[in-house]
Amino acid sequence: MAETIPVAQDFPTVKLVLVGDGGVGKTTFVQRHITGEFESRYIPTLGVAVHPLVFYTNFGKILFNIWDTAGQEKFGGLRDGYYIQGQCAIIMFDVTSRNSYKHCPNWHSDLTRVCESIPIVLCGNKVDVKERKVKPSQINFHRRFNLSYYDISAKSNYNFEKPFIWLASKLTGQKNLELVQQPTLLPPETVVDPNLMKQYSDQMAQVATLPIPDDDDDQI
Amino acid sequence: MDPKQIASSFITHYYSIFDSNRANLAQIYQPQSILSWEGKEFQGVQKIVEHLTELPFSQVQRKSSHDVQTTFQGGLIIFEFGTLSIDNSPPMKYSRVFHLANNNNQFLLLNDFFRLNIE
Repeated sequence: MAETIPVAQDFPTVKLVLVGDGGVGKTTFVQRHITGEFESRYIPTLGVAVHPLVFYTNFGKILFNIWDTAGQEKFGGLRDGYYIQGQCAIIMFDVTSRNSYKHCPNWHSDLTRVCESIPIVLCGNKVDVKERKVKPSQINFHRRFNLSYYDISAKSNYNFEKPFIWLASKLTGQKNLELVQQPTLLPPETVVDPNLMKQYSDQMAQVATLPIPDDDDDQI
Repeated sequence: MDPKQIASSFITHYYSIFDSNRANLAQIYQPQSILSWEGKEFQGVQKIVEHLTELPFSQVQRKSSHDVQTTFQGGLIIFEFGTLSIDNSPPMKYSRVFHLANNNNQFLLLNDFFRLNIE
């Protein structure tokens, strides 16, 4: 099958590896962005769908080629081919599933075994769901490894662009990087309560001032 | 009995149980059965069925073919290959091997290998 791979361009193109337990919403998340100029493509020999997402920043355009699995993680682990040449990553869990948060350290060690020290964002998805099981105060895994963290809700588009801005800033070394144009997203399928989101982010900010616990897996 | 016919009915039977209620696969595996699943090994009915039951997907669509050979004392080795997709995801290629031992014309599933054929 002929594959159309974007050729050399005058703007950075980076491979973003998306990992996390099956069912946390990885595919829903990447499919929110209406890709526009580049088509998503499926590579059957790898069992991977590549979604090219463009972001326009005050330092120029950047293209993330986001790798998403066809569900191979539901059978066991991911093959090394999935990680190889990854330049940045998102580890996603579901805030309504404690297990999916507990497994994040495993995803992190698989990633860093192949990709070593690349910028990584941790994302807690489904914050629109009222029955949140993984509370902001319990999320501290990212602080041990210097990852960034965002609450997200793929279905409501809440914080969709945040992980990409942080990664783009890390990759370009530009601390003041921001978007000059919002990405085009599918219309929200649900809404988040702004007051609740404010509470969550206040709690995150509060916890960030406390020392990092050694290992509090038992509390989750 | 024709090995081809036995292989076909075994595969149909196996997946009809797999797709309706994986816990019922306990009827098919034996205490000495071994499953190699994506490089991990499980032995015995309980461990095998526990693993298969815990796989986090609900629906599987597959298109597959198979080859069969007879082996020692009327046993069969079935090599199955095809594509599957889970919960409406894109298709992935896979291979599977079943070894059925013949115990007085009763077939026992002793060995089972599963791999996704992806790089």
